Amino acid sequence: MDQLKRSQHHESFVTGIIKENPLFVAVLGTCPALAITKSFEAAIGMGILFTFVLVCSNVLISALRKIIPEEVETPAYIVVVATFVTVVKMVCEAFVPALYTSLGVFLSLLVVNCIVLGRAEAFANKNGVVDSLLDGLGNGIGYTLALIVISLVREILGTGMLTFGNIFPFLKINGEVVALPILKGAGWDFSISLFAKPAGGFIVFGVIMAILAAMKNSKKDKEAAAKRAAAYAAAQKAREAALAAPIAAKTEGGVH
Amino acid sequence: MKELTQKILRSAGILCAIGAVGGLVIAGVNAWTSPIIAQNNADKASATYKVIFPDLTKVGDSVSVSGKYVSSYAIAYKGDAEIGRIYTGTASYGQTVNMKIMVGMSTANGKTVLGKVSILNNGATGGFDTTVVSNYVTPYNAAPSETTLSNVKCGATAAATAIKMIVSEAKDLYESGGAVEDIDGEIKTLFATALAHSDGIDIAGKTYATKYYAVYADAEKTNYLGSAYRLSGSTTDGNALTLLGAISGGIASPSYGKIVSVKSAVDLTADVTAYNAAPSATQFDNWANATAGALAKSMMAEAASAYASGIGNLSSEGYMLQIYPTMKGASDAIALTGTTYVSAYYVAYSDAAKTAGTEIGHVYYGSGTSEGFEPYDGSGVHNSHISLMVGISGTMASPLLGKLVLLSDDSYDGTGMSGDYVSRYNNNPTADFDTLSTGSTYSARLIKGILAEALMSYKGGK
Repeated sequence: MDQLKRSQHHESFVTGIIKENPLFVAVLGTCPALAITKSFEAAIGMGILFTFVLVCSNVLISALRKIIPEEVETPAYIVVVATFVTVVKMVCEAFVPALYTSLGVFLSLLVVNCIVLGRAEAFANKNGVVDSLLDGLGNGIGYTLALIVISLVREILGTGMLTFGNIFPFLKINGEVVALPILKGAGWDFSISLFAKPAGGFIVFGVIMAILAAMKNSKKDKEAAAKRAAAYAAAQKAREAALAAPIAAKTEGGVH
Repeated sequence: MKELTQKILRSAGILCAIGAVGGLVIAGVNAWTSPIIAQNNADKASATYKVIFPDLTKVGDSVSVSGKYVSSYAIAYKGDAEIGRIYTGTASYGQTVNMKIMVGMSTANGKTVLGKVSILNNGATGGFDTTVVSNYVTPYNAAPSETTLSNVKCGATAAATAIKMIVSEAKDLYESGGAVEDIDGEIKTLFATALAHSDGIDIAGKTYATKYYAVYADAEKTNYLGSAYRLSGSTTDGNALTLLGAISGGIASPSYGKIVSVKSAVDLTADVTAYNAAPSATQFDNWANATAGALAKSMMAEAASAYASGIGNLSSEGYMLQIYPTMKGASDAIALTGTTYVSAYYVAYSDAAKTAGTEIGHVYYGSGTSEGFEPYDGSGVHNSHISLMVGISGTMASPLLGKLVLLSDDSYDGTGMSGDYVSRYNNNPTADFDTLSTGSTYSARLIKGILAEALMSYKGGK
């Protein structure tokens, strides 16, 4: 029983990270993902805040799932999510103002984020608190990882470097923003500013989706080929067995 | 029915309870974070002010103004002394929406000094936000001046133009003492019959004169009345003064017109009223505020001198001065008959008394319409209308073409098309105008026709 529960917890947590990644697999929450992934730091910040809102709302909705009447589920979820988003907004503005400015309206728009509301309706109101917490955590981490991948590509290609300290002051070294030149140096610059623009976000997102689709298709093809090979081997074995049976009968007859 | 009511009441109650708890949580967090947020904002504003005026120790309350772009200003102090003003404005231009900036303005040697710009909301989109900062704001802040302000073609032209619009208005507001300047009303005060005026045109290299407005008695801007000069300076006792002063008449003895006190640290109403009753240079000597009178006198003397040398003087004489800079007087227009383009000429003298033997040359006024040009853009046949003045000197047998000044030009392909040729011509005047370059051929041919006719008139003793 315990093992079954542990397996369910594990499944709740892991599913959202890769297998059902909200951004790359479910293609949810693309609008903020494309808008705030110009910078690596903003993407991490958004990911953390998003995960916090998702975990908290999942836990509370799961805890209240038997109290909230079915007729007012959606309004109640929105009130819960809005409360957490407002809290996150205020705390962010107070303690990480640069992140607050950088995320702009997309932080407030978490209230109506389809991943948050989707997990509340599809998972939290049907499962226990621990599973809901793990589901929120898994989806939050999955979304954050997706944002990180897009932002890394966009910031490096778009600006030619990776900067730290613009949003999180503790990443500064000696009070200075750290800029790691990757595609840019003295006298040379291979950056493509298009990637720092909204169009660049779409291109990166599209290319990553294409790569993931190709990998998925390749895996499917391999699985299908393995299945075909196994079926062929089984059929071959059966044929060989069928051919061998009369010979064996004859041989046995000869002995007699 | 009762069950349904109970159900509804239960749902509403639960929703209200969730909402109430949420509200309480938000209120608690707000109480915790709002002082921190307020402090952050104050620090941010202070940091912004410090970018503009590093020396400031305090900033006064924000004063609202109803500019087109500028919405407020605050006075920056070092100790108790005002060191400048910080203007906040918002402008949209092209794809740039709500570019919000702060800009400093201060005074040094009686002149407005443009201060640094700090962006509060970068309204540029799609990567232009960073371009406008790196290619426009940073170079401007490194050396704030009219030149760096004008360099809007930086790769983010719309955003830079929005910033420039705010800074220009802030400068005008600063020079007018804070309120939105009613330039139309002021010019009407100076020239009662004024119906139109040019935009403010910058004047460089003068002690007090920073700008002039050419004033006309008709909406078509053909009947020139005189010019209004914007004059800024500081009195010997440290009071900043900005005047708008009218100058008109001939270059030999420009007439002092009325003045308007645009900005003054002291009340000059009585002195200005007395002066405007009978404007003259000596009137300033009678001012109750002697230091302001002395400054105003110097300012108007500079304006009159600029006018007499052709700076800001858009009368016929003003244009002729561009052809003959040593000219001190000119005859009235002498009408020509039997000509196609050239309708009048003037005689330029090196002597204000226009005595015989001091003639420098003639200046011909010509105008015409070019052959029809049909551009590829399908806009139809375009005829250029050009009017100009050209100088001709030397003997009748071998006249010398002098410089020419374009008075009006609507050549196809935008402004300055013919102006480019005129610049090249003026470097080396030649009658073969259409060989100067290719393109805008019909305008060049028209100018060539006017020059040829002027030469013919000169050879004919006219």
